[in-house]
Amino acid sequence: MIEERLRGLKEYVDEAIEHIDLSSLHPLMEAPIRYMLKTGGKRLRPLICLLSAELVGGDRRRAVKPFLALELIHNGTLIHDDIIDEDLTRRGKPSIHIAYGVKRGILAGDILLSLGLRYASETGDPRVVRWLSETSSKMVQGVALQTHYRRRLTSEETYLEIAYLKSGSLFEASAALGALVGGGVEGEVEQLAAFGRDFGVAYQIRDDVHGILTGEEALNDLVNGDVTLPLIYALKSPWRRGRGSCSWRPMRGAPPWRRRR
Amino acid sequence: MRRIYEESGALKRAVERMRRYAEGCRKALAAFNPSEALNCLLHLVESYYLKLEV
Repeated sequence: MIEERLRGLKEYVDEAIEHIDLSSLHPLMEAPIRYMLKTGGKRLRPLICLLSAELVGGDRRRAVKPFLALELIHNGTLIHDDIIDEDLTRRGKPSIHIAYGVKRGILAGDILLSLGLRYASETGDPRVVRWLSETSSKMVQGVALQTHYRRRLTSEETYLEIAYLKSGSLFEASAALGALVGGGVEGEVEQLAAFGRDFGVAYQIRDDVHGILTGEEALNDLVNGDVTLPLIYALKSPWRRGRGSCSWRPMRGAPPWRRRR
Repeated sequence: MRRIYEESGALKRAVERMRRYAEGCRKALAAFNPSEALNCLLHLVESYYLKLEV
């Protein structure tokens, strides 16, 4: 029954996303943005926003503009991430910069971020705009830190800081903004912000763990020089001693299968 | 590669850390009265983090 309800909510989210007004965009930029939004995804952030609004007794319709803002900003940062990480695919399809070129990809990401802030402003609540503006800044800083620490051994503390900035901050906003527009009191907004924060950091760790379980992503992380939590633990582990060198020396440059001729 | 993470205990530690955050999620929701929305949020925590098999 719960799964059925979640499926229904996801359909509600998907429909709202399909009806996003892109009429003001030049067709040159509309095409990559539609492509990105149609690749789907789990829509976790909108779902959490909707459910948080309902949890504090609010009307789900009031959460539509905030969740659209969240999803647009999320997709904008995914495009930029894929370009920085040189990822060739996203959700099983060619990444935007592969399908439309790097320049259009960067600009499509910029447009999605600004569209997100437009939907935030349409809520008429300056707290929503401020929260999302601060969150966008946190996410960009998370990517900057991740790039800075690439190919360097970092502490668990630094890893968790990056995980919060990159992932936790947007989940935090999703839950908190749902509570805000749903009419939650200050304590409820704080509780749901804490929920989102922890959900988002856990999500980043899950991504690392899932990468190891499936194999391919863990290899990509090592090749990219991205520090994962299991890697930090493995390098700190006493298991290493007496097993020869297993220090981390990530490959320089793109792996052979990613090099372009 | 998975063997290294498993034998060093790194994978297990990472899963434990993830589950501590998931417990944090549950604690944050404990203040709310039972409802369908609450059940859905708890379900998301459980299906994404607590039921992940390693």
